[in-house]
Amino acid sequence: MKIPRGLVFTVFVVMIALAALFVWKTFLRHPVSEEAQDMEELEEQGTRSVTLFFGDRNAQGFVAERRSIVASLHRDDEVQAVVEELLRGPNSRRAVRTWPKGTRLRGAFYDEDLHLVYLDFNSALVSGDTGGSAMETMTLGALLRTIAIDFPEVAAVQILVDGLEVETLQGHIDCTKPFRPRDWL
Amino acid sequence: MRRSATGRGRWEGWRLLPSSLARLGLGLAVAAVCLAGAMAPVSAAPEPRYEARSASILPGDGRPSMTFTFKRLSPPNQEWYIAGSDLADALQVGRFWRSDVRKLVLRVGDQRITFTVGARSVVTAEKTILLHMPVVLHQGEPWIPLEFLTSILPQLTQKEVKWNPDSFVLRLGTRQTNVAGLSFQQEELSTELQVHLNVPLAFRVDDSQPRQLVLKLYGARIDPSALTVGRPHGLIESIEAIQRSDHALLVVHLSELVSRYQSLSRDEGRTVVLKVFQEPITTIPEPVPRGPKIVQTLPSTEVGRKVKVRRVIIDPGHGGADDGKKGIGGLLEKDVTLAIARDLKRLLDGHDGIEVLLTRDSDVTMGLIERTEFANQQRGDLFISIHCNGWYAQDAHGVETYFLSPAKSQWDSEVAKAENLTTGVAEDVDFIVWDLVQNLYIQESATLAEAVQERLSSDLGLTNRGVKQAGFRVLVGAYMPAILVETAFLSNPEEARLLGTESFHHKVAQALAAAILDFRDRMEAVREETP
Repeated sequence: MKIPRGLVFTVFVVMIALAALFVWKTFLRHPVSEEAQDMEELEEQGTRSVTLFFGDRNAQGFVAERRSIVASLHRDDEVQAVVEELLRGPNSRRAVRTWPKGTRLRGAFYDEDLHLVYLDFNSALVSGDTGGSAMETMTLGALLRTIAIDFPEVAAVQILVDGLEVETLQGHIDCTKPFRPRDWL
Repeated sequence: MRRSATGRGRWEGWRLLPSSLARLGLGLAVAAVCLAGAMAPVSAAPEPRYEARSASILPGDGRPSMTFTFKRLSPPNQEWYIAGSDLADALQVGRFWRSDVRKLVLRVGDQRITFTVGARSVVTAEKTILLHMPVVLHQGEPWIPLEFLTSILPQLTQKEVKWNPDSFVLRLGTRQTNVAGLSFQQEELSTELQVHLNVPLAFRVDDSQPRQLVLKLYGARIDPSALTVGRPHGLIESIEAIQRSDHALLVVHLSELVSRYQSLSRDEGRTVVLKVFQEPITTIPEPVPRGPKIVQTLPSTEVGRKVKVRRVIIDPGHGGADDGKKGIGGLLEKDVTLAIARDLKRLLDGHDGIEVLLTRDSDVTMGLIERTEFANQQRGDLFISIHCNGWYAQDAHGVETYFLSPAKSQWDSEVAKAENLTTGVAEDVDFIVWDLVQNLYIQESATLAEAVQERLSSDLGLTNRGVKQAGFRVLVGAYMPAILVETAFLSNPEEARLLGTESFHHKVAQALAAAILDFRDRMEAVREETP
């Protein structure tokens, strides 16, 4: 009796499929023990949730919002992503964005030895239509509180404008030295 | 290697199929049935029935609480599971999930913690820990046994985790406080309350009520239950601890024998001492009918540093090229502050033995440090910087008064120590000394701030936003009690209108003058005597 060629192929396919499944299952039961997947590869798929703080409408307190950012091996990248989310502003109508119009982050740099983050903003941060201690303390408070919560390992934050230290942002708070984020919790 | 071979094998199998559509269909159908059968134990089986319950996670670091669903995914076992993504959110850490190898990596601080679906092991760079139950793949996501959070995470990160299986509340870490605790020291005629702080905090003692002293600790975060004292210690009968949004209060109830007190700080501001005294029986004064007023005296170490109020330095904020806040209707902060300052000088200068000097009496640009230097050179007795507030939303309104945060340079010294820095030390030391100058007067600055805040809110009917602390550049280095007052909001339509009127400037000036006299009276009431 002649076996139809179709059946041969079908059986062949089924066997291949079963073999593949066997390997798949074995592989699952006994996962590769060595850390073959280097983190660079993993990085592309990482996410993390962060907590952002914005001002309330009366400048008396903060409103927290949770967001998701791309997780990175590099602290600088995560800090940059978080500050950019802050600059984007809140979703809630109860909350107020705490930055002068046009403020952009030029870059973030993390000094791992000093646990010090440098945040370099453009000059809109100091030249916008701003003023008042409430504004300035809330701008700093929202930023430093966010960093304190999202990056507890960061000991200090130095704010720069166009790459340089500034005396104050709006004429009140001393910005010449780094801030300790946990003091702002 | 094995992984990629597996993937390719499947694809090549499909390519071997004959071109006939019917055969392809048949082959596919059979393969699908077989596939389903073979895969059944792995993932395609109907999900086992599971129990789900919503749980609260309290992060304990200042974030709001979160609600997640915990599930019992392995029927014979009582273990609850949390989804990998929820776990990462709760810990607020990076989550790297590879569905092809079914591995979840969480990056907690500098550690990588690896979970593998189907495996009980939790792998870090240093060690591998076994869970009682394996990680489970459920609805396309790895689910982690709760045991990881409750017993393994504390081992890996020293994070404190408290799980209450009855209320389904998981507490991560303890509430961070900066007040470590209280201790008492009793002597024959005195009792000393010592408040131990983790960081130096400014404080103020309110003695306005009979038989109690209220210690206000600015910027304190406390666990009220840990600081409440129900039983008497010597002359202190009990202590009530209250947490407010930006300060904490210790209400110290005293024995009726207490006649005076001292407050001081030790250990570079890390211990606040409140010492209460009873007079020896032989020297008890005549009883005062309206209840005894407890008198503050200066500790022996501080005698001679009594603050006298004769020369007042008033600093109109901004000026010249620096307009300050632009108000609704085009009003400029620099003009308002100058108008109020001039009014205040007219009101107070030459009255009650007080002399008033302005840092600027015209529309000129002036540096922040220059202003304090002027005050120091003129040997001022107190310094008040006048400003107007602003906010991005129009809602904000009211008055607030600031004084300098203490020990601001701590970070510099810590880092300098840690790094054993040799370069730039001279500059740092200069800065630290400059910074600590105002620390000497932090208590008096707090008292002045309270006096100004009280007058401005009550006499002007403005909303009281409270006395606050921040690192003001213009207050650093003032060798005298120094504050900054934000009179009202130029961004609020109603207050901006007020700030544009001369009558309001005059009222603010009057309230400030009254506050300065209140402060002087209070400073003079402090007796310069020691036991």
